[in-house]
Amino acid sequence: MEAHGARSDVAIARAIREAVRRVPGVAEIGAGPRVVAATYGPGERVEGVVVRRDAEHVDLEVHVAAVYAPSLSLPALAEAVRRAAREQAEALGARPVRRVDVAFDDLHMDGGGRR
Amino acid sequence: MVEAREARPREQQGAAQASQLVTEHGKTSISNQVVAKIAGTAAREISGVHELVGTGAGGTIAGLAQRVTGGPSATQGVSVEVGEREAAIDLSMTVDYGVSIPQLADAVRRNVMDRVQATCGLAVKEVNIDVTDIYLPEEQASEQRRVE
Amino acid sequence: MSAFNRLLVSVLALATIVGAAVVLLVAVGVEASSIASWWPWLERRLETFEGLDDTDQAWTVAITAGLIVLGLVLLVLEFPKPRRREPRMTLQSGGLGRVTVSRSGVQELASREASLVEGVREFQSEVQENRDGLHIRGRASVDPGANLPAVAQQVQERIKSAVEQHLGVKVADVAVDAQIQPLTAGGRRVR
Repeated sequence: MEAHGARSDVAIARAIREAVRRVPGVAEIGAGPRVVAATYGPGERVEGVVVRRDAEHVDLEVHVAAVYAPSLSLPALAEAVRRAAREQAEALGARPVRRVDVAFDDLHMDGGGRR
Repeated sequence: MVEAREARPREQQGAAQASQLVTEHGKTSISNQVVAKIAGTAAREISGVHELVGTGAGGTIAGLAQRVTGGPSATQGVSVEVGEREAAIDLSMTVDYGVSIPQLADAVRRNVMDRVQATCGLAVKEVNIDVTDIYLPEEQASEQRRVE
Repeated sequence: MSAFNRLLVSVLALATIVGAAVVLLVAVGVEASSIASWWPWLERRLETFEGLDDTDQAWTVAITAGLIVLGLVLLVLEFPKPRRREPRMTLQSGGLGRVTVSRSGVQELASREASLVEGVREFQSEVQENRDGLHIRGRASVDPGANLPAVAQQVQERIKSAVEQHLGVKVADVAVDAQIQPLTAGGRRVR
């Protein structure tokens, strides 16, 4: 975790990316047919995670490719992603998180191993 | 695999499912590609569906690509229109010789609707099914003969 | 092609035909003033085609006639709409969606069923939907020596039951035109 004092948007985005990737059922972050949104910082950008801040709130957006399973429920997976992203952001001091938009851009049909 | 933490009873379909997609905690959006892959998989599961096939020029190109890459693309023969809470799905397929197309179509439609509803939380308004060909058993034999 | 493109091409084709026709009329001797007196600009343009010498007149007639033909061809190509039959037949059109099947698929099925009857070499069919059910007409090439009426009847029965089984639609009528295949035609079906 990048929990130094800085906590720039990119650092938060990177941490969220790592946290969301560990959610069961998530294959990839920021992969999809189209170019997805990203968070930009000096010398780096984190694709698939957008951190937006105003004076009072933090809004997040996460682009996810899911792993297909017959029992898959994307609304439930979205909730898990939302929770992971929110917890990570708030742990790094980006709070309060108001909204986490989750976009499922792609689905990996073969267990996510290939490609 | 995914813990259904937020799982609500399945009977609350329609509006309830849609509100899962748009909550005050954020919006969940599902791309057409994802819905198409789920619908295509659900359709292919039904025995009697031979293959999902693209139509028109796009289908020809997809068919060529398929021959090159060796596998059917997961979204071939499927086109979807996804709104915030509803989806409409068009399927284009070949069926096996010997099936009753109306019965097969009912089974495909039911499976696609159930799966898209359960997986995406989207109410499927309609599933249009176009059978482009009836796959005759002898076609396979003659294809093999040509290869020999 | 989209409806807009269709319209655009049609309008262009019409304009080409009208323009070429007017020039053609003037070139063969109709007075420009009698056609375009209401638009002096056009009249002046048209006057250049009045009283051409023989070579120029022949060229003008040839080119304008060619343009008219081209315009007509474009118009005809743009209106293949009233095609007698749609490429697909609708089996169901309920509230949950349509079920359609391609006409060529049904025809192939009919041909296959017919060709399974002993003595039938080739079968070509056409399918039409009427209110009372499907009407299938076909032409069968039959081996010399086969019993034509018996073959035709078997073909009818096979097609009727196969199409009804697959499509779930009633077949009202199967008309088979069975002909003895001439021996010279070398009955190979693989080209």
